[in-house]
Amino acid sequence: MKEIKNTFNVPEGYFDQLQKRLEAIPSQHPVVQTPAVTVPLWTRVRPYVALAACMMMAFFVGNFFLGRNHLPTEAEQVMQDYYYMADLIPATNPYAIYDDAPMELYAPESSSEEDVVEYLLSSGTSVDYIAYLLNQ
Amino acid sequence: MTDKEILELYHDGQQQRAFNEIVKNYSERLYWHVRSLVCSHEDTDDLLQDIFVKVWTALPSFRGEAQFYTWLYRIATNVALNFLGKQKVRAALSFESLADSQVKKIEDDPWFNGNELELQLSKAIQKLPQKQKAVFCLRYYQELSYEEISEIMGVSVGALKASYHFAYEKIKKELKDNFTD
Repeated sequence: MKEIKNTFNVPEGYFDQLQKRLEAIPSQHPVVQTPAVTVPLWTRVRPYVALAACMMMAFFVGNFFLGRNHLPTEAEQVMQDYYYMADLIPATNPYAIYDDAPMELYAPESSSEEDVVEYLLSSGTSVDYIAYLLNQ
Repeated sequence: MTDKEILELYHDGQQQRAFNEIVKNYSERLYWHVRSLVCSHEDTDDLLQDIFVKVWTALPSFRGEAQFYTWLYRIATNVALNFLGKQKVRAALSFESLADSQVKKIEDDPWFNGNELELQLSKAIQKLPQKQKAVFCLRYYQELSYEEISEIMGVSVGALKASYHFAYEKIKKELKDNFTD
């Protein structure tokens, strides 16, 4: 290797002193020679096998308890359909759900005051509030 | 004594003698390498102690896959870069940059013996990112080949050439700016 260039300096006799100091390292830091240990394959893969077994167990147990009620009974299916349909029924025209006819066929040509009052009563509006609205 | 002879000596059971030979052959060279990275004589002195402790404890695991001196340079470079990383965190905590504190160290260094141009060059080097700085110092001060630096840094030759080029351009710009002011 070539000579190095440097722009720094060191105190007089520094490298001799450094060399002596560094040569003392082996006596201050004894290296412990550990014999090479060969770990059997089974010992190395055992944690991974255990992990895989746990995951499989969790999967099968979960599947057993949750999966056995997977298909709803006939009664449950009827209830589910009922709730599903109930969400689709328009409050203003509940009969429209039973066939495919356009909504306009069921809607009255014009709403009388009586119809409005009836609707408000059926939708749970208080009588006082309805009276107030009629007097406006 | 060559590296091969030193390693033979080590494997023949003469570990202390082999280590003394390593110290004799490399302590000064590694000192200058670390000094070019960290600037301060005191810091370099402390780091040299750490580096040779690491060399001594890691010697049994040296398998000869790399050249022995590049292995030593790798340990020294890693220790120095780790030290600079810690200095960077410390500098950030006191709201200053590592480059500024390194430049200040050079300005205050009683052991700096370069001329004005060398002073500006040393300051510009300290402003480089850590890895670029290491590549530049290994190439410029230690005059190692890209292949040797590649073994030390664990980076491809192409990446090193690019890194050196960027470092060179930054230093050139820095020196140009300083001397045209």
